[in-house]
Amino acid sequence: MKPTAESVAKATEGNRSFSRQVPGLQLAVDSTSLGTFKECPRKYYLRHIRGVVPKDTSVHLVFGLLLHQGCEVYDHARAKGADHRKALLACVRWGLKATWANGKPVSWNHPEKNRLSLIRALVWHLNKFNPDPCETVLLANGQPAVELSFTMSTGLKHGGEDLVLCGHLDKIVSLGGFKFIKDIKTTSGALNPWFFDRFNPDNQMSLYDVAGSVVLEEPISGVIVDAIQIGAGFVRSERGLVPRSAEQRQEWLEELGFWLRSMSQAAQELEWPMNDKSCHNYGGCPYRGICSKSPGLRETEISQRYFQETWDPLVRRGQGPEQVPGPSPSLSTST
Amino acid sequence: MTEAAPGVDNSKVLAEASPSSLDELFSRDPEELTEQELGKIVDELIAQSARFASAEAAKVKPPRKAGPQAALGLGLKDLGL
Repeated sequence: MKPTAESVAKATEGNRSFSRQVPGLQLAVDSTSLGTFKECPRKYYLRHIRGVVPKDTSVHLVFGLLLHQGCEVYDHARAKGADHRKALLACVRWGLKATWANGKPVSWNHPEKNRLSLIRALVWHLNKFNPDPCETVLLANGQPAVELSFTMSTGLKHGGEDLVLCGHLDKIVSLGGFKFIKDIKTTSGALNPWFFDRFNPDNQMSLYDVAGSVVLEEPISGVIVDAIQIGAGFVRSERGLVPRSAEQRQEWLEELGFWLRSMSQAAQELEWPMNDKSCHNYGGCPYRGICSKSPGLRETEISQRYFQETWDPLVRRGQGPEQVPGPSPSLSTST
Repeated sequence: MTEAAPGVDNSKVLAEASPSSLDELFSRDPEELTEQELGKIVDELIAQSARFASAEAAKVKPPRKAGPQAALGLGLKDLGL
């Protein structure tokens, strides 16, 4: 279990986001890997360096991903000139096909998150916000600003190698003349006025906010979150604003330096300790089954209950710009 | 935590539109569905959504029960707190 330079180099050899000079040093950091490191370095080591994933992948993750993709299908259809109904039909057809395998509907064995509730969520949500006051921004190439992959410099280096932020933005929209990043969140819990409080502060939203300004090359006003509650036989959608001030943005960037240096230090020392105060958050860490075992038994646990999947945030999605030039002046954080 | 819509019997709201027609369409290979059949799915789901919204709008919130403080006619100030 104790990582060595050789084992870490081998684990990340096919992953372009990692350094070839310092084993275990992630040079291209997205909100997921940064968030995991902040939560627990050991969890980060297992998921992002070792590529260890629980076999019983959460239905919630799959459902959320499909919902994002379905909305993207709708947005692309609208951008190509389809009216609301035609875009809904395209979205529903996509959703039905995405949940059909081996000649039958895919089953997730979940009472609320299933094929019908996915299609219902797409139709109810997209229909509720039609016409949508948030207009999708069109990029210079005419493509809708949807599922944009970005890479941008942080201005930080480690041993001559640049440390960059990267990731994927759901959508950039214009509302009342202001530009916002738009993101979708699904939940089984109630949508109350406090639901949106969880996004301020929030690692992912802060990174999106910073990235949006760079992608657009103009200031953005924050993030708009479309929250979709998936209930037993119903769907509720609410829209909330997650603002960020220029001072908050600067503060996040300054503290990003601390976290990136911590990631570098962990790689140099080949040490990713457990944060045993976060094992029970969010319904329990999916790696608790490993960490709860005596060190000598952990590899057996991994081989039996987990599989390998590389997390490479440099794999691009959609048809976003090839590369966002950087560094932005606002990202000139010193080491 | 999951939640049923408070004050709304979802099974009734959706009963009219959880019909065998939707089940039948969902059980078929999506490649074979016509635009008209997809339209039927969309129409059914939009109708469900409208019924759900109406039911939620119509539900009447029961008046809040008076808490012990009100019942006793005491407030924190009365207790010197």
